[in-house]
Amino acid sequence: MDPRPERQPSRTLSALHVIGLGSVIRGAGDDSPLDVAPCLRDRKALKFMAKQDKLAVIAANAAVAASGLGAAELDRDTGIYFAVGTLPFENEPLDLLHRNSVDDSGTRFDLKRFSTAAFNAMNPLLTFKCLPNMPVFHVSYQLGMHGPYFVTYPGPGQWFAALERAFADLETGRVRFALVGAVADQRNPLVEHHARRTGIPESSLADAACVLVLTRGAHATQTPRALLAGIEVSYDPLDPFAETRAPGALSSPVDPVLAIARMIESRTPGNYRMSDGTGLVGSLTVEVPSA
Amino acid sequence: MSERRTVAVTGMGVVSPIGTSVEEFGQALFSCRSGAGPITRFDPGELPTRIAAEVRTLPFHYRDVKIDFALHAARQAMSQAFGPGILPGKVRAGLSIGLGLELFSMDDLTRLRSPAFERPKSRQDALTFLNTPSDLCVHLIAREHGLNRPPQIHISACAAGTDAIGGAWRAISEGKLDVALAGGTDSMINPMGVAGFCRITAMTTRNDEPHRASRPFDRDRAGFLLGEGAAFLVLEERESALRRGARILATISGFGGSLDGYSVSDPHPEGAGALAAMLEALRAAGLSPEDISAVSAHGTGTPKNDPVESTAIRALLGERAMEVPVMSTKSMIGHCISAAGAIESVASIISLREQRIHPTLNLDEPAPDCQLRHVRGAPLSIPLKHILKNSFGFGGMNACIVISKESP
Repeated sequence: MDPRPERQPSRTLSALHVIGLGSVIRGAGDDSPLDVAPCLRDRKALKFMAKQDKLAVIAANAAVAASGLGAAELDRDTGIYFAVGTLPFENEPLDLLHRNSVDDSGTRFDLKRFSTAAFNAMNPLLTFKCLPNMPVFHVSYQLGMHGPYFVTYPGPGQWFAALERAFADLETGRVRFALVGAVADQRNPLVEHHARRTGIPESSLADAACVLVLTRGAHATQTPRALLAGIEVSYDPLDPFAETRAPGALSSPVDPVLAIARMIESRTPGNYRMSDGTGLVGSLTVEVPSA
Repeated sequence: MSERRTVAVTGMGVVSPIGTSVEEFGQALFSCRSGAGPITRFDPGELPTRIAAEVRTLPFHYRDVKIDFALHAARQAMSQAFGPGILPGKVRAGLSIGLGLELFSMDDLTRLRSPAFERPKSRQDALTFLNTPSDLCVHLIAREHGLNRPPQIHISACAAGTDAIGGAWRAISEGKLDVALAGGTDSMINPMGVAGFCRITAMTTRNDEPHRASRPFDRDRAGFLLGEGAAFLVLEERESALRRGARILATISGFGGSLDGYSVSDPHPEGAGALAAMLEALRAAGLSPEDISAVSAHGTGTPKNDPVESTAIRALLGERAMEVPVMSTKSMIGHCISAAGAIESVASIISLREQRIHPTLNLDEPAPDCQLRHVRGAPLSIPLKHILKNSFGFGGMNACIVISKESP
């Protein structure tokens, strides 16, 4: 018996209004600094922020500013739905841990040294910078958001899952607005290692975040930037240990939302479809109202 | 908004430090057994915390043990609900799972940087070398059980397991799914996991008395004890479950979630976010605070969580605050992070079925700012109808579900 489940027809959702969008990207060779300071209402939080957190805050801040949402709407009427990429690990802490964990030969891991030298050298803030839900904390903290949330990982298909979740909350009236975004810090040794073993071209890796602010027609007070219609998501799970990467499969959860944002910004309506290499397929139509 | 469908629990599975089946787990809960002990998974050397609540009776096939935990617990739950085999293709079935951090291997880091390093040859070895993607178990479970709707993967830290159950509840109650397998899996009992929590002084260092170390709400609490495991519930629409002759174990009546937006590590001091999540869960269930029979607390044993949670529970219950019993399962199994909410939900369902609450271990003297009706010393037999299950995660993520006794 074929153990693979019968592929279900995807479920079609109705239109969502895009009332704001924001993005930030640092691709291959782009080492320009991320200036998150102007986005912070509390700069003390900066010391807890990893690159991923800064990316998310910059993009979310721009999207919210473009949407015109104020503090009252953001408090409990707006949900946050984020997909976060594969866990990053930057060179500096990796080097520090390695240097302080090897034995005298320099080739073997020494638990005793790890539990003393590496432990004492470890920056306590590293723990907070490693947690994958931290981008959502930082966005919610800086924007004063206290409502529902959904934070997921690690790939493009999960951004569509976040979009579905946002749609459900908007449809049922749990929220009136939704920040639906994605963030990924990919230019670091750990994600580069993951890219090599999964056939993702390293040249495609980028540090990026992109956020859309969505609502339903009933709550829109302005002409939307775009409409997202015909949202469909389907799943035919692949065996992660047996399947090779599907050609054209995307790697970053930011990829689909960035592509959609670019369609909106260039006023290029059309269909968008993606697959992510795990069996998730997402598609939607971008409609752009006349200027 | 169309009327919500009632969501029934028709299967459960659990892997925990005190039992790797629902029956064993339940017996241990009411025998007041602690799963704590010295860490044996690796040599903790001179780390400040050298104790944890480990799963010791399950064979491991994967480097990342949370994959084994998840597969084992999922099989139990699906087998109880549907028997052996895969779900029929026409059933809209999805996985909703709380997942923790990727396993990162310091051993592999050292190997990678040594001159003699050779790349792993097999795909499985390659995919688990240095770090193991946490979502591997998602696709393995989905394939094994015929779960053909897009999975919901929740990474809201300590709230993830409860968020996963809540997300599945919403999908079933809104008619988007027929069946959901909902729960969580986690293990951070590895050098980086333990060291990371030690470095922020979040964990107990009562190494000479592991069984006395996890002390939620106690005056002498000094941090949480790390646990590990997995648990899943099978959720389906109640009438549909009854029509096919399924046994209803309990119902999930409501879910609430909120953000503190206050601090990266500390909860809102007045428990505002926690209270909001509890109130939303009750509203969704069509209940009021007067309907709560008991609370399964997040109850970590940290200096900050316990008084804040107590404040929120007191604000919720008002005059009944000293009448409604409160339990912390973490006192026995430690803090299972992304699996905590799911494992503790199984404990709550067992409580509803047996009409008794397990005690919170090591609660010798409740702290002055943690005054609630704690169950101490021995299990408490009491009529139970609705249990509130709380989970509060790092980053101020608050999740709450209402679990209700199945009406006869």
